Amino acid sequence: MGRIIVLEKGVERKELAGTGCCAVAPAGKLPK
Amino acid sequence: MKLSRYVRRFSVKDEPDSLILFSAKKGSIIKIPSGMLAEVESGSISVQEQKTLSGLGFLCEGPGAERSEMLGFIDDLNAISRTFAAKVVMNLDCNLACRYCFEGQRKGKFFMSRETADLLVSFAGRWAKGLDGRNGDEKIAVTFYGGEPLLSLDLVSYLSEKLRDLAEENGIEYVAYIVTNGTLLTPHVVSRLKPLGLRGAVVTLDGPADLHDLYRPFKSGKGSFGRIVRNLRDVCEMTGIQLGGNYMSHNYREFPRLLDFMLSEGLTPDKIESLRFNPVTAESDGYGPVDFSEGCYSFNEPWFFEASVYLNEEVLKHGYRCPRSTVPGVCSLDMNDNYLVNYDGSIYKCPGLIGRDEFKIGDLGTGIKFKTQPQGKDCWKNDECLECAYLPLCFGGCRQMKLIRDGNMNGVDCRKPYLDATLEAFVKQDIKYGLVK
Repeated sequence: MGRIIVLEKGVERKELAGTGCCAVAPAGKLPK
Repeated sequence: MKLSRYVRRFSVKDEPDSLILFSAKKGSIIKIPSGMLAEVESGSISVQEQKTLSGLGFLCEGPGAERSEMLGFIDDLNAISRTFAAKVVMNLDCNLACRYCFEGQRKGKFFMSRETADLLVSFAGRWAKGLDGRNGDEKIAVTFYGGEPLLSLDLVSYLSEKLRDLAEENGIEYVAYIVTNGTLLTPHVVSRLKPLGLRGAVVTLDGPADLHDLYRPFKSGKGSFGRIVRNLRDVCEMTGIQLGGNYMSHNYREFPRLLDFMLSEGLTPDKIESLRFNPVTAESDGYGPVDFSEGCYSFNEPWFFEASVYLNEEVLKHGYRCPRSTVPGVCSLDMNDNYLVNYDGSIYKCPGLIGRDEFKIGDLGTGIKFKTQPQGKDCWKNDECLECAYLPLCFGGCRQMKLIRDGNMNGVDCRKPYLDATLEAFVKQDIKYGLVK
């Protein structure tokens, strides 16, 4: 809109609340 | 309203009059005229523009209010979380002999018993009963883990059925994933587990066949690549496949050959839910494999800057979906109701901590002492971190890596050098490959 072009809306807090990140076994992270 | 301190700005190629802004608080990305930034900083933009920017995380009430917001960020997440998430180590056995396996010396013929599985169901049941009402977001999310969980197929089925029934009785959703080496992931296995809630499998291919077979052979020494690829072809349209792969400084440049191979073999992007390569991480003496010392100790190792951007580009260029690196992330150590349940019923917060008694947070038999990991908790609650633009992407980094590197969790695993070197490239890849929603 107008002067601001939104390329990515980002994530809502609720979407982050499900599971923690895991750097040790990152492939085991559940998808949203 | 003021510009958030958790915003980074980047130039736009061939558009000197434009700027890209990235908000680490939300992972949002916008493009604005360069001249607008001063107006944003002085608060002289229109009400409508303020509303748009606030909603996307670019504006805040002021430095004090934003500092308070960040100090409460993880507590707020825990307050709204309605998920019971458990990674369940079904056994510590494996049919492969991966050279770098971080479980290394902890492996053996150790299998979860049916009694322990029943205790896990009771543990999840107590969580479900303790929920305050229902809002439709409640979920039991289980990841079967190992060792190789499919060596415990009967118990995976048993546990799946019990947990699915428990969820149904309590009116909540149940989802299950399995982290497997893929050698036993046949159509028969998927047909058996899918009706019991299996949503997908996480499988590892460490690059093209020659590399993979060097690092992930069967115990006999025979390569496992061919078997895994055959299974993936057979099941990729039956369940979601998340593909991973573990690389090192000396071999990551070979990984695109795997992507070419997958395309030629029909394992095309439409059949793979997501694909992400990760560095092999180091492990402490006494825990990891005896003869392996090439793992990564820190995201700040300079080779990793180049490797992570290069491989992200290759994955996206080949058309596969790669989970974004540019979204806020909170470690499982800090999330309530996120557990790693070991085969013997001991409870940890992270697979890397298995077998380290001082980091055990409870037991299925006797209950939990801590909901979050006490060691190193809140290590990021200091002025330097709170003022760092990357805090929402990091929150002190990986305490397990800090433990391996320094022998303790007292302090942060700072990601600033890594993010200084890579974030702009990742944001521009997000834009270039249309990861935008």
